[in-house]
Amino acid sequence: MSRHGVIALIPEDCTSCMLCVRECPAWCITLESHTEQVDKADARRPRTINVLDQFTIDYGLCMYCGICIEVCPFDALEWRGDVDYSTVSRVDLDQGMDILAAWG
Amino acid sequence: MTRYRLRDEPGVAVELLNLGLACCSLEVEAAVGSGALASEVGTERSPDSTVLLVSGTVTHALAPAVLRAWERAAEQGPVRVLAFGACATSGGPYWDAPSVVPGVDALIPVSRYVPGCPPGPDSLIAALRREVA
Amino acid sequence: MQVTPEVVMPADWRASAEAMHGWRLDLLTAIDRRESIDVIAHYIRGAEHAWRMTCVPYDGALASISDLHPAAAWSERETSEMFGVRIGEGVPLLRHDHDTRPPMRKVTPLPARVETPWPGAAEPGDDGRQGANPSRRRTRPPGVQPEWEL
Ligand code: SF4
Ligand code: SF4
Ligand code: SF4
Repeated sequence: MSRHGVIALIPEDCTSCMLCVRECPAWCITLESHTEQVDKADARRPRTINVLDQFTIDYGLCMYCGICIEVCPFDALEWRGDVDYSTVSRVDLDQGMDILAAWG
Repeated sequence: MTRYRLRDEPGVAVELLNLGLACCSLEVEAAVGSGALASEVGTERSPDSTVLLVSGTVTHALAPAVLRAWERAAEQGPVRVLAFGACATSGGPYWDAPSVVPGVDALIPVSRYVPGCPPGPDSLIAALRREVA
Repeated sequence: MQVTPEVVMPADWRASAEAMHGWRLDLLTAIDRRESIDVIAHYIRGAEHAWRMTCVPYDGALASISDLHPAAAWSERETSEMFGVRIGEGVPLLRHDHDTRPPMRKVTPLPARVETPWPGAAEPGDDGRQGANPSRRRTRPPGVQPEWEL
């Protein structure tokens, strides 16, 4: 585990299950997803999967409690060490999944 | 108000007014304690920048005092306001509390937001460097 | 640290505080149990910790212990007004708008939690396009009490 700098998302591992969104005491995670059917040659019926469209953390509100990281069943969230994350505008603290995935 | 020199930017002197309203203020002390912010007490050199650091929870009861501190500092010259931590940025863990101002930018203009609960001393230094260097 | 409090009757609250002579009162606060208020005191002596608890009905009152443990003075006033339980004189400390409900009672809604749409209300995979994807289970957001009107 890295030092508690920022919370990062690994989008490939996120199943859009909404657990973190629902457990977050600050209500600062929002998630958008849709369902898609995948046809598999060997499966009798097409399977429905959730596809993640957007995942946002409002860092202005986040209390760094780590509950989202703890509850994620798929380890799609983790601490990373970035410390230089200040912004000049409040709305820029709403950080979408491109930023969340790229934290160092 | 105390004058500091940033260890990593020795050429920059910053006048820091820390409104330490809650736990975040300890991180400012940690930055001083670690030497990342070096006190410049007694030097003649005028500061390159004046920064009002709001570190902690702004309650409605304290809002007039915060506003006064900013007005006083602004009378002396330009002031940059750093909202340090989730409380100063948005109310943070107390965003739902009726007694807490949901972000100090409701009272005074903020130049830079440093999220975190609390942000560490490294984040303070990084933000100060971006703001004054 | 021992965390199981010793429970005393409200009438014995002062006696229990008297028995803690020589201890330092570290904390006095309360928990809303929805029909009554549990008032809790935490005492310290050296490395020792002790908890005392009593249960006061919503319309009940508790005698002050601030003459025995002066540190209780602030906490008793704070607990009185935040939880709406009468301790001693109940002189206002922070809140002077006593026509509003005590903020720490569970029935007192937090307006921000009522007015802000909860991001957890969406269902996985529901982008609103399919229409019929009603939530199977109504989940209550964290920090929201069932009696609040949503
Ligand atoms: S760390 Fe806590 S407050 Fe921040 S997004 Fe995760 S659950 Fe929410
Ligand atoms: S708990 Fe994990 S898998 Fe579920 S939505 Fe959050 S990040 Fe994605
Ligand atoms: S942001 Fe967190 S650490 Fe900072 S003052 Fe608020 S509660 Fe304390």
